[in-house]
Amino acid sequence: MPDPTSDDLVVVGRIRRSHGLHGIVVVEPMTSSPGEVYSVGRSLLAGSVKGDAVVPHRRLRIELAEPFQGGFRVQFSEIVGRDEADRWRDRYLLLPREELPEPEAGEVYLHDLVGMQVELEGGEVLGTVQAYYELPHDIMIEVPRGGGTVLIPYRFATEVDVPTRRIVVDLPDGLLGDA
Amino acid sequence: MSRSVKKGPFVHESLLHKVAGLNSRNEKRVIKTWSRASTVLPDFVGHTFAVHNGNKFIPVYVTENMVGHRLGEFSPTRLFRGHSGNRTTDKKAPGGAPSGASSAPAAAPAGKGGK
Repeated sequence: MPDPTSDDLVVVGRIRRSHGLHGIVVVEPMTSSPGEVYSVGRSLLAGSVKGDAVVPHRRLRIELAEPFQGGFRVQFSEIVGRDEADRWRDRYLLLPREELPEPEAGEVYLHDLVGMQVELEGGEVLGTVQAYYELPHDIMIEVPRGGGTVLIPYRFATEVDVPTRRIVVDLPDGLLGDA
Repeated sequence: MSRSVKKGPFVHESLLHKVAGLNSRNEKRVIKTWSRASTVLPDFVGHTFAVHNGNKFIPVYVTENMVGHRLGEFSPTRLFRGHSGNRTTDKKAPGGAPSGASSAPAAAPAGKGGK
């Protein structure tokens, strides 16, 4: 299987610390499907502490995964012993996009929102999504507007079409700051 | 020391007037405010406030869960831009709220580290 390019990779977790003497690590999951991603037999790509994939790509195969303190205790077959496990502290774990579980009907991956075209219900194009933010109360998408950017609460999206890369929003008056 | 109950919750006066005006006209439009200390009242539910975070206005659609909190709690002054480069995390969002703003429930601010 050819190595995925960096654009095809998404972060699915971060190794927080070692646990015990046998190379088990505690992983903070960063995925909506932790049970599927952290399952025995699955292999994840090793990342750096910055979130980039290690080049050449290195796979870590899960031998044991069980819920632990809000995260997972994971034994990778490539990490043996506490000293080795300590060297993996704070490094990210990644997966190629095509290996992620398919989102269910009516769901979309947040990373898929970036680059989508945002339109008003009348058809006026606002721009493309530059970034998204997970705020405590809502998800915000950032769209360029008037030399800067404007944040739009994702809850105002009435339609998200992943194949055509299009988001339709119904905004209250004044949200774009030009009313 | 907590605020005296006798005084009631603090809300900036102009904010109260604006919300009362919108409610009387049964109108929905975004209210810009710098008053991060104002408490969210039940009258605010369903309105959208653009709360300044020191840099820009963050839109906050008020739901029932937010009543009693301060507006500033929903307008973080620092925005986490994600991991290095263009790495993104694998999280899902609903594929568009079918009935607009009123459908998706919102949570009160989570504690530190809450996901």
